[in-house]
Amino acid sequence: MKSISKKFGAAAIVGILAVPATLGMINLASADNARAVAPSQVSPGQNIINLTPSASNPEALRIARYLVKDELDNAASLNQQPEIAAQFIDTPALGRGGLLIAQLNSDYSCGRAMGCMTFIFQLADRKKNAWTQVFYNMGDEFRQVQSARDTVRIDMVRKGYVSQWVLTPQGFSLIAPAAATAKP
Amino acid sequence: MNLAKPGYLRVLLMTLCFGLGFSLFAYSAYATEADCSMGGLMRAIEQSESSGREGICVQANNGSTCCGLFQFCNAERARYGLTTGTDSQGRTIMTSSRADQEAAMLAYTNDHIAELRRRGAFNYVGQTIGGVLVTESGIIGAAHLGGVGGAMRFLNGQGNASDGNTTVGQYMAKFAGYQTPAGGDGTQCGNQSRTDSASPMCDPTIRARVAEQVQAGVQMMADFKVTNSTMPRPISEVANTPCMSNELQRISNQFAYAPSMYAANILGQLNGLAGPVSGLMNNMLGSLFQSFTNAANMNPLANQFTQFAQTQISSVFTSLGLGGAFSSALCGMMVDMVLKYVQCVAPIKLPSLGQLKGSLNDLLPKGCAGAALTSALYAASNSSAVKSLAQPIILPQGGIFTPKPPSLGVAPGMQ
Repeated sequence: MKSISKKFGAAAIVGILAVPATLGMINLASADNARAVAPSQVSPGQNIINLTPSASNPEALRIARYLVKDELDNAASLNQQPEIAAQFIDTPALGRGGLLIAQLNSDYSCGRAMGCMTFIFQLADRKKNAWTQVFYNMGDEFRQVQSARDTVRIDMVRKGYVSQWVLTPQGFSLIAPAAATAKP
Repeated sequence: MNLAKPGYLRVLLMTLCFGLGFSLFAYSAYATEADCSMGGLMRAIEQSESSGREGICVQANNGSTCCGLFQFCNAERARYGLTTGTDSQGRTIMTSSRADQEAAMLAYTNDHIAELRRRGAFNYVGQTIGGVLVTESGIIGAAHLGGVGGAMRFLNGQGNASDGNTTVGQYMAKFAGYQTPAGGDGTQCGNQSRTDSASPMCDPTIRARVAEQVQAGVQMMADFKVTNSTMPRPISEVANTPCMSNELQRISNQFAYAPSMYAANILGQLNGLAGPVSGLMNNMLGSLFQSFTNAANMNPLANQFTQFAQTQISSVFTSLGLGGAFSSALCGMMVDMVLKYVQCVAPIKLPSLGQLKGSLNDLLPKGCAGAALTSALYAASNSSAVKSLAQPIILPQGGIFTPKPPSLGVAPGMQ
């Protein structure tokens, strides 16, 4: 009597496929090219937006869950449930609660080098409570910058590097890339 | 006579799988400075993450601390068993060894590959998105540094996360072309701008000419399959006489010899093709796909051409019943043979049957084994075998076999 695997070779073949995955260890050389790793610093006129999930504004959180539902579903399909942080952002130009920022924290929505998926929505119609996405990016930290009344500026921090963004009719546009900004 | 000749199958599967880069994960020996193996990819990611500093920890803005070669943060360290401590100055450092970090990275990457596969990321391979030619390793690298979600949003055209200096798309280009368990030939890696438009081999005239030749080869193989192979009759037709030794013999012979017969004929036919693709394909097939570089050296332009050629070769194999592991034709033969054994030779207990079905499903991505085997068992009135572990398999003639240990006997007349 021969075994099933011997007779059909199926298990043996599966074994062939599986074994290489267990072979060997990485033997990686030492490296150079260090990147900036120091904690970021806050300049005068910058307010760090608190994106700690537990510190979220409950109403902002409720709205955010609806607005980022697609990404939550995507994460759920991989059995992940991102922690959501959400805050309203008050600006002179858009008024109280004119912007909503939401950040999704999970393995699915965060990258080792780029931070976590972050969206900013603008309140397009207060009566209808209609929101429009004006920013998508991945970052660690976001700061509201107090500047001219008619300008809405957000600085994004990613691994210590700051990039500057300003709201235009087409959404947030980059005005100063990370490389051009003073490093902490 | 040996019914299935596993040796043939092993060689064939090794050829397919190694050639297409599904399982080359033993990369330590190849992890040199300029190589495009999986080790090369890991080192490139390591460079990007920590510049090779094993112990370094960085306080992230969300309160987590990311440490080590690959900057695993709190959750990942816990998941993959990595540890931290403090140095003499009270600073948090990674205490896990380099080997442990690398092992964790392997596991982490495999998990990412599984997630990316579930999200359909690898369906984008070969496309040019945002000026970047999408490759398997590019996706893996981008997902490591930008998350699976970030990589997927880029692939779906939902945004290229950027700080104005570094983007997900750039990561995808930076880590392109390495050999990975998810695929990738590993012949050209790490290019920053490996775009379709930059490739001279993407000249429409050249592509058309090569495609024409490959298609001619595909047609030849298809013709060969029609004229030289007798597919087994549908299960519904043979179910009434499932245990006839000549039927078993015919199926077994065909199953045993078909793959090698097809493979040998592919080589022969492709060798006869004329034009720039002949040497390339001959070399690739002749060396069991292990050296795209050698093949490319035969024609300087071919160096840019491997991606396209891989696609075409896949279609050749698919048309021959060898693509995607086995085609439905070979799958049908395999299921047919399993059915005969279940019915005629030795009943298989359900756990073994399930195990076999699982193994076949691993080999047959289209899922033919699961559906076909189950439906064939039902068709042969062996529903009890499917439904219950304890039930014996009832033969169509009404006889009952007592369940035996999970093994198969040798069919009458098959010695």
